[in-house]
Amino acid sequence: MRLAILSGKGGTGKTTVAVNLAVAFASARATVYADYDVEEPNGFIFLQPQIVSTRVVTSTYPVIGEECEPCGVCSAACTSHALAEVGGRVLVFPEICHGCGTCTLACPRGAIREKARPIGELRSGTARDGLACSEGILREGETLATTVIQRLREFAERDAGRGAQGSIVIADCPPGSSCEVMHAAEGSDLALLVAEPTAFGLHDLGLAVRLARHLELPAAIFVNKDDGSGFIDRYATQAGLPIVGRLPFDLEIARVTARGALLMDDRRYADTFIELAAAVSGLAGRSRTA
Amino acid sequence: MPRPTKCRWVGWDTDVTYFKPRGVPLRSLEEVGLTIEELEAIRLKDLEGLDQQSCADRMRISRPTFHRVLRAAHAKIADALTTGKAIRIGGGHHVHYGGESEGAGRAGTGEPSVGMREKAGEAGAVRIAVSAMGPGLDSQVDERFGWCTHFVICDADDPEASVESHENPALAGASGAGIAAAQFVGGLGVKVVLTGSLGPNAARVTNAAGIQGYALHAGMTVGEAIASWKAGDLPKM
Amino acid sequence: MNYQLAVVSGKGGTGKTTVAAAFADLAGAVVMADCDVEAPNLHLVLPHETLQARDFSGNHVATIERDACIDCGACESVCRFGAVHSQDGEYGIDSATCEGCGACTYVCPQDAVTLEPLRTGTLMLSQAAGGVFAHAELALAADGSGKLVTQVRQLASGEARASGRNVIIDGAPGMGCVVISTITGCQAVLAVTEPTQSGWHDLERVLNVTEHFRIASFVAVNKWDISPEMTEEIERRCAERGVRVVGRIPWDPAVAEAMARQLPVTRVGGPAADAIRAIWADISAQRPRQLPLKEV
Repeated sequence: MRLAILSGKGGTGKTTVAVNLAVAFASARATVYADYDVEEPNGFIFLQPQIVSTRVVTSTYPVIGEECEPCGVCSAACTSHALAEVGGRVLVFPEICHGCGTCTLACPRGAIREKARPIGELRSGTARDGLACSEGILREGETLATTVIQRLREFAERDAGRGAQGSIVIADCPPGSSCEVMHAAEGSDLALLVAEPTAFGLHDLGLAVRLARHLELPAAIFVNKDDGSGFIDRYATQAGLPIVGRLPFDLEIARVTARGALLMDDRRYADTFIELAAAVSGLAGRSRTA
Repeated sequence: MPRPTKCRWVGWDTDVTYFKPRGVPLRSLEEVGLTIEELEAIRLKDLEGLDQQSCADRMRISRPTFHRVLRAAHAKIADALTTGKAIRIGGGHHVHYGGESEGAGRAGTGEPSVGMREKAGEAGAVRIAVSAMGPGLDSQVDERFGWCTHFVICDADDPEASVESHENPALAGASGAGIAAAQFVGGLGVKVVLTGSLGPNAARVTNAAGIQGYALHAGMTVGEAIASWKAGDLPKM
Repeated sequence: MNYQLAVVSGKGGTGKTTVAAAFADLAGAVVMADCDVEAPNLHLVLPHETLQARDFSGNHVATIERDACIDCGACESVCRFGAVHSQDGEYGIDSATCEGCGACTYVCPQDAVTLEPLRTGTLMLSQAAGGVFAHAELALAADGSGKLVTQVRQLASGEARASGRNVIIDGAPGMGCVVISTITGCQAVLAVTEPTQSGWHDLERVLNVTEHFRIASFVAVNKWDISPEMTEEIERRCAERGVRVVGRIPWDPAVAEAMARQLPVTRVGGPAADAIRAIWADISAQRPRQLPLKEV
């Protein structure tokens, strides 16, 4: 079973919900937590896993060999403008290369070879109760977040496998509504949308709902920083989406998470996530059999 | 898997390099650039009436590539004829095989001739490119290099008579606008660029192309920028 | 040259838009740009009227002409993004995964694959009280948000040049492509963080990016009173790397109230508004120049 934790807006508490939910599941069944917010991964701050393996994510870039007789075909073929033929030679700009390999195909003299270039890293380890944790980290100055996300998906979920009996994958997705989120969320059994009851929060919840519908994922809402205004509840009723949990607006919760501590370790809040685990597995199970 | 050969072989040469609509002053004209191999594609297909495969064989490229070249040529000419633009012929990536003979060897035979753009570069005058917000010498300059809408290009000694305007092709790409723009003006034989600033990537290209950049200020027209540069008032980058 | 200031955050939800909207109010005549094209919010607190909206095609996507295709699979063998798939022996392109690189067009023996422009968003120019406002909305699940951000920047810069005004940019969370497009060519960046472990972690990464691109950076700690200890820790670490913390903004219910009333917080008042006002006075007095570019 795979759960995608989405939010649209950043900072709504997506990671707070994802890590605490993962811990709530881990005591009862095989659980994988994967942090797909590769630009700013934060889950490990809370889970503090023992890192057991790391892997470098690479992309390729062209290296021009001596066979080159600058004809400009490669630079004309490159839609990223990562190659320029000028002054009788070809210049390469690795940092904007997407690694598509079109230049290699286009070169009439077979003069282009490709070299690997690190763009990020994957790390995995184990936290309490055998919770398997993975994260992807994009290098500063790099732009190929999608590549890191795709590699992480293979890396984190291949063995953990949705196939394993009763196991669960919690995918902590990036904020926003772009293709990066899509690559992290698609193929899940349920999208859990974390929302806060503010004007910005409501607007961006709308985006997350549209994205879930686009990906044909059943969705449920978790209300964070609930101030009792019923703001999100009214929207949820209108949209026909269930609310499966809520955390109150409480500066104490902000202080706990600011320290990097888990709410599951605080008796006042642990039940919220244990109940949430039951609710989402019920919903996701239903959507799988449907 | 077959890999199409991308160097185009061209079997003739032409002295005519420019067509323009009658009665329109050159300085207010936009132009399209037709490469030598595009002209060759039209000549073989439309004038000699060969089938596409034969044309492709003559030019030593794959049929799909020939089709692409031909389509690009048709589109450019249609654009020029219907919207009243000038046509400049030259440049591109071709090797001259010196004759109509189909049997010219794949490599080593036939003297590769110099492309038109090199000929233009040899004319002596220093070619200047100015990043601008529109065509012509009266347009406002644009401080952006990669992202300007137009490049106004002319010879230093007589800007009025030699001015030509090009839409910036770099705008069409997904990234690396500065790189593409620098390569574009370099390919037109430009040796001096007047613009607001050059990013590090664009600067690498201009250095390799032997292009010197000078910093202009917003609010000038292209003509004024060129005059300031000639007077030595624009700082070197 | 017009002065351009970007407000970024690294971590989302730290109060970037609240600060940017307040700056817009304080700056008076200014051009605004919302570069968070994936989840734009600035328009919710800047009363505005949209003057123009147009579709933007930031990407190309390969399409296979079925009549010409012989289902040889050459395209699939060269696609590195897994965008070509076959169903019942017929090949097709998944437009959401296609990067538009054109590798497939180079190998198709039938010339059946072409690159077509793909709509990736809507670009808008609006009139707000203090001046024009450039913003956009990315099409759902689209690629190329960085390019749409560049378009928003273009639009704002053009308006700024025409009117001789400065530009204030509301950035996107993160530190990748979209943020790089947001800060390129800016004279200064203000990073708004919150005093949490995550806030610091993300701030550090976004500062690495602004440093990489050599743009002068300042930091403001929002909701600092959630953790005075962490606030001091952030201030100390920023000082260590030579980044100035220009202010602390307290947690203030007026922020949520302003948002609900669709106003910049400076119009509602309160301690947060006062703190932002002081930060604006500090930053706008500085007009830091872009650091010299490294020799490449």
